[in-house]
Amino acid sequence: MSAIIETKNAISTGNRLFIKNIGKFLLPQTDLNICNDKQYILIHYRRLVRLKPFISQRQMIQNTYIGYLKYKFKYEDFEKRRSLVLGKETSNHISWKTELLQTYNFIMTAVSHVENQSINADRDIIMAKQILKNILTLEYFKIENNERIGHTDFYDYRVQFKQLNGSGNQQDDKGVDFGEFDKVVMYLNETLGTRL
Amino acid sequence: MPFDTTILKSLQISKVGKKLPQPLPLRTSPLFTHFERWAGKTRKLLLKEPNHVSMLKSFNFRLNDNPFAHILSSPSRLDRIGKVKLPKQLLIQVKSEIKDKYPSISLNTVVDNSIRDTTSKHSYILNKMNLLEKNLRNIKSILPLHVLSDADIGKKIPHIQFEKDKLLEEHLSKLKELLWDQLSKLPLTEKPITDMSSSSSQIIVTYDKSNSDTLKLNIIKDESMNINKYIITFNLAPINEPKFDELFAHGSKKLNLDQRNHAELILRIYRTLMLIT
Repeated sequence: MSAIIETKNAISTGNRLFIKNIGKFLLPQTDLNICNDKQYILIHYRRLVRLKPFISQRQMIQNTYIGYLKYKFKYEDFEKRRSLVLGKETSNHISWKTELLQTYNFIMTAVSHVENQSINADRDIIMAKQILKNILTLEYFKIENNERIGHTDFYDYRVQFKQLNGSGNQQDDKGVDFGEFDKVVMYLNETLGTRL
Repeated sequence: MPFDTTILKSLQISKVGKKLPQPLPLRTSPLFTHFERWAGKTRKLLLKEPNHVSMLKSFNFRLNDNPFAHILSSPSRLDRIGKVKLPKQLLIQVKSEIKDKYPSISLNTVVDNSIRDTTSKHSYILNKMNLLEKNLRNIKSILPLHVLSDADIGKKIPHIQFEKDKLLEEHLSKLKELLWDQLSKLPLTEKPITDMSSSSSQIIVTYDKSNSDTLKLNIIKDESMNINKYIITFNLAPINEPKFDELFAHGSKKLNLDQRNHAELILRIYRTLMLIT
């Protein structure tokens, strides 16, 4: 049991802190179709980076999250990864702008609390948070051994997608683990229209 | 001549009197005004109904209807062979029991999604047959930690029964039995139901030997609702059992499932296919 402390910016309960001024995390009210591609990407990137303290209180996880965002926006060849899982002939039916917006919505879902929410929304929030947590854990494992063995983990798993191509016999144990996880993530992306 | 102190006193008083202590300005400590900065608690964005309606409208992922979300949102456990933390539903739970004073291990066919077992009573290995056949060398690598931390474990290990092939075969046949029990009770149809109004997802199970894909995704974009609808098709052909083939009438019959009613069965199908392929 603990008291509820309400300040100008936040409401603090026993184990949670609810931030009231959330204007800077939301998308601008203006029509996003007007702005060019670079602006569109930057608008979303900024807001995703601002969500850093909401992802976790631990510095290590926050760093993993920022590293994950940078990788996603700068290096990842999403089409290659997609075609490795779903086959080459399937074409992408959603534009990348919608995918980016959906990804932003997904991460916002994971860090939100809705007042008087329905059970459905509540369930979504819990599951989205858990999924994001698991994805960040795997991201951490993908680059964890970089300094110890070979220095090639970043290149192997995140640029070449070694875990997704080739048969199971050529893979190391870690590669199979990452491969199975990445497949499910890609199926989830297809069904939700996100770009995780 | 005695020093006349009265003049001095009057001076002092007038001096002090000029600087009468002002009352301190009323300021609340930042401990209270900016409590959130140092509280060190899990932060959440507070969304309210009238102000953030547009944001709330976009929260329509319906993750509860999505079988992949159920797999990915299970709590993560360490894979003992790959040394990577993965969601529980991608792993096999290894259970140990005491038989004739010595521990013996068995593989659980179901993994529950709860976070209750934090006492390391179970260990976990990746749900992948060919990897297990290659890498499962000795029992030490998969014994649960509470057994391994036993004082005289070194004497016990040579007595523990461990036949890798038998263990894996039993596990696979048990899984097939359970799958058969559930599938044979459900009605099969010739053609798939196209009505998708109730749920955003639809799952079809087939047994098609001519097709090598085990999982196929079809996305139907619904412009009006801004929700992705999708059909997931599982192909049970890699199981390679004649009785399954007969049940599905050599590929002409199909089974329609729905995530809300058959969540457990869908998870079992995915796990079985993942184990074999």
